[in-house]
Order: sequence, then structure tokens, then C-alpha cells
Amino acid sequence: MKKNTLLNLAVLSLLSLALSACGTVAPLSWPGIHVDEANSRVYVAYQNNITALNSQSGASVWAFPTERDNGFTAFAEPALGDGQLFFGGYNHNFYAVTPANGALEWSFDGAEGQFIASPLVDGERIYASNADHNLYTFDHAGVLLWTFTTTHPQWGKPALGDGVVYISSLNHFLYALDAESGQVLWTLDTGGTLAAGPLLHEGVLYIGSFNSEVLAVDAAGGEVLWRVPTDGWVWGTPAMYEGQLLLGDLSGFLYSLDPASGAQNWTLETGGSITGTPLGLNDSIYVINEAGRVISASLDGAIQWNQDFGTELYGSAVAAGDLILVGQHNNTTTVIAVNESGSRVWAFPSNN
Amino acid sequence: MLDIIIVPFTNVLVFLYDILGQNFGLAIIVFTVLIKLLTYPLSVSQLKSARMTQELQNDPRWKQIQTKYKDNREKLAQEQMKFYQEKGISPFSSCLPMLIQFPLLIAMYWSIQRSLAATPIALLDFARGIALPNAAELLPLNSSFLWMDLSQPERLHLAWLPFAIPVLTIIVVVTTWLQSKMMTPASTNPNDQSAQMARSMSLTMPLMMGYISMVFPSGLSIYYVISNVFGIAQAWLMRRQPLSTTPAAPANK
Repeated sequence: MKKNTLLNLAVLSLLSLALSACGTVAPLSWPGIHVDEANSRVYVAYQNNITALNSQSGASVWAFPTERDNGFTAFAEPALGDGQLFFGGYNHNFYAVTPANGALEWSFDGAEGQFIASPLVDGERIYASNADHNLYTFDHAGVLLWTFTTTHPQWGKPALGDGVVYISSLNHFLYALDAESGQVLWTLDTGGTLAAGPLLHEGVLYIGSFNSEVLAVDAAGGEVLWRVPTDGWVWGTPAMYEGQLLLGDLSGFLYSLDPASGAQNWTLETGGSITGTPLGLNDSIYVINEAGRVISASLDGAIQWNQDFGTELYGSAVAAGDLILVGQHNNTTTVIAVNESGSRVWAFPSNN
Repeated sequence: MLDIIIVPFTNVLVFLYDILGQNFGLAIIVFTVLIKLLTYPLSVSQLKSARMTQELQNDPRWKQIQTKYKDNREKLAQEQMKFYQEKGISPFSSCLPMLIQFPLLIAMYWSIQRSLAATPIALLDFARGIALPNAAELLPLNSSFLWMDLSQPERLHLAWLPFAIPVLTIIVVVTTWLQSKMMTPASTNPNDQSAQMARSMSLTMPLMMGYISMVFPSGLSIYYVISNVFGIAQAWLMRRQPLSTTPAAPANK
């Protein structure tokens, strides 16, 4: 072989090596986990599959797609409704499958961005926010009913109440739309990026922003009822449990607030960024953080246990009966189920 | 590990975005010029070294080595290296300006990805590394610049054309090739190892950079075009100046 050819190969190898550092397909998000109402089945969106698991054993029941397809990626939590399972992909497509076997019922390929948000499903419609700045609304047969466009991507799961759908956008705005027509009822500039959707509880919307605050907004008219500062940016949707408004921030604090006034009941420093929604279950509060910890707290904010799972934990802990399910990011294990004492019950895939 | 570079890069980019009217394209251009100015002394010394290498090839002793060992390639290479060492010159120095671009290019790629944050993990990385007090107000950064979305590969769609033109890719290929040509010392010796390496680089680099421009965010291509134009101008100016330093005197024997 000529020396010139060798030199060319050497240079190309070097450049390819450098290039591969950019092109490495690292997970773009964390697992999205949904549990059915019977607490029997878990649906997990992560990387190249939607997987249905037995909630008590972690055994895989089916996977979508059935053959490996590198063009398909999904991370947003699937949603169940009217006998269908719905999820959006990072491949810009939206899908409806049969929950029992994962068979495709219909799909939509008209979006131009990633489905980062989990869809919202009611008896009549499916509301799917997309990073292409659109909210897509379908009926259960997959017919596109209407869209609503914002100036920036929509990453948050919509909320719904009394015929009004509420959506957030990275553009700082909260929107109230007529669920049937998509007409704007009111808008609110919250002053900070909204990476998650609002919680709707008894006519009040609760939402955290990157302006390091949480707001309570009157769902009927869009007036701010109160706003309370947090230590860091708020990513996850707040949760309501036993009369407490719970939320976490990227500084690692877990907050319990009075939902009526925003007054602080207690805070807990967890030691790692919280990106998800806290989980209330059997008089305990569970939260996961970037430091790889699952933390169990009592209703007055005292730590009950603090388990280290060794790798970053993002998103929300989800209940499946008495089990707490946690998605793992950037690891060979996708989901871990722990019991209320913090002991691991199963992991998926099971060989890890 | 690259966070050591990526985090400051991201902060500077976002700071420039803020003071330049929230224009991310302008921020990338100004940032590229700043990087080129910071690495200017290094580039100058390497360009000088390359020119000295070129001039050495007119040295009578160099020619004598070529003639004497023309039938023994191994010995010829050894003697050439020895000669370079005596003169205090690295024969591969002309390749270095292009090679040092790579860590910077990779850091720039990640900084753009984080700043424009199209995915949750990218936004988390951004949140973790950003130190600007008003960063939350700036989010989300506007990724539009001219006809481009800086977070996506560039294509120009013209109404009268049935296909899109990758304008930036073409500019990247041409300017990379031009820069390689300007920085490569000419050599009349077919056995000259450094010239062979430089020739290889001038062929592979434009292709590789063209590929990167085709598939990676256009913000990265803007960085590379500005960087190339700066490098071409620098090489052109250097060519017009006489060498201020002469090669080191041969070692006494």
C-alpha cells in the first residue's frame, strides 16, 4: 500500500474518531412511565421502544415496534384512554396502539418536531403538544380536529377541566383553549420558561417556571393568585397530596406549600436536581433526583429513607400499586421498581 | 471531560447572544472571531514553521541528502528527520493548525446544542453549566438567523427549484479547501513526508467538513466558515510578509 494512501487513511480515521464524539447517540431524555388504572401493566417509553411490562414482575409483555427500528425513538410518557394507548415519538410521529398487544391502530406523521410532552386523553379527544410549536388535537380514530400554534416549542403535558384545555410553552406563556374548537380563552405571560404543564386542582392551575418560582393561576380567567419564589428553576409539574402542594426544583429542593396562599409548609434539600413531579403514596412522599437517589419523606418533610441507585434519575416516580417505579437514564437498566421500604423488587431489563 | 471547554463556551455564547440583540447567529460569528484572535499567536508560529520547512528544501544539504539516499527510503527518512531536528523544525507543523480545530469544533457543537436545547437532556446540561444571572429570562434562545434555523442542518429552499441547496455546505467545502491550500507549503520533492501529510489533509478535510455541515446544526457551519475565512486572510497576509526569523543554524559537528 502506498504511503500516501496510508496517510490518508490515518487522517480519515482521526477525523472519524473526532466526529464520532459528536455523533454518539446518547439518550435525549429519560424514560416516560405510565401505569394503567388496574396497576397491572406498565408502559415505558425509552429510546427505540415502547415496552409493556407486568407491573409486579417487570417482565416484558410486548414492545413497539416489534423489530428494532433506529428511526423510532420515544421518551414521553404514554397515555391510556378509550381502549387505546397513545404516544408521540422523537421521529415526529404520533401513534395509537392496542394496549393488550401493541398492535398499531393509527399513526399521524404531520408534525415537524419531537413529541417531548406526554399526550392528554379524554373521552373525546387526544391533545398532543409538539416541539414544532403546535398542539395537535385528534379524535380517537386519529382524525386531526384542530391545531393551536405558539411561538415556541411545547414540552409540557396539557391539563383539562370543564371543557378547557390548558397548555404551556417554552415561550413563558400559559394558554387556556376551548377544548372543542381550540379558540383562545385567555393567555398569561408567566415570566419564565415553562418546561412542564400545569396541575389543575379545584379551579386553580399550579405551574413552576425557569424564573425560579411557582404560580397559582385562576383557571377561569388567568389571573395570578399568588407566586412564590423557589431556590432554583422549576421543571416538573407540581403535585397535590393530602392538602399539600408539592414540587421540586433544579437546586434539589422539595417544597410543600399551602395551595391556598403559597405559604411554605416545609422544604427538604435532596442533594440533586429534581426534574419530575413528586409522588404521594400511602402517607409518604417520594421524589427522585439527578444524584441518583430515591427519597421517601413523611408528610411533614422528614426523610424516611434515601436510597442511592448509582445513576442519574430524572422525571417522576410513578406508583404501581404499592410499588414505586423509577426510570433510569443513561444506563442499561430502564426501570426499577422499589417497595415502600426502598428495596429493589424488580428491574427492567431483568438481567441488570 | 470536554465540559472544561463546553461550559465556558456556552456561557460566552449566551452572553454574546444577550448583548448582540438576542441574535444567535451574530453571537456565533463574534465568538468565532474571538477564538481566532486568541489562537492567533499559535497559528502564526505554525505558519512560520511551515514556511521555514518549505525554505529548507532549497538548502544544498537537503538536496544532497535527497541525492545520496534516493535508493534507500528508510535512510532518507531518517536523515530528513535528523536534518529537521538540527534546524529545530517539526515537519508536521503545517498540519497542526487544522488539527487543533477539532477540539474547538466539538466544543462548539456541544455549546450550540446546549444553548439551543432541543431536548430535555440538552436543556438540563445548559441549566447545569450556565452562570449568567439572566439566563432564565433569555430562554428559549432564538435559533433563527437569515434563512436558517441554527439548530438544524442548513438548506436553502427556492420557490423555482425542486430541491433545496446546501449553501453553507458548499461554502464550507470551498473555504476549507482554500485554507488548506493557503497553509500547505508547496514541495517539489515527491518523498517529502510533511508535504504528503499536508496534501492528504487538504483532500480529506474539505470532504469531512462538508459532511459535518450537511448533517449537523448550521450554527456549527457558520462557526467553521468564519474560522476558515479568518484562516485564509491570515495565511494570505503572512505570505505577503518576509520571514522575520531564519532557521536555526546547523548544529556543530
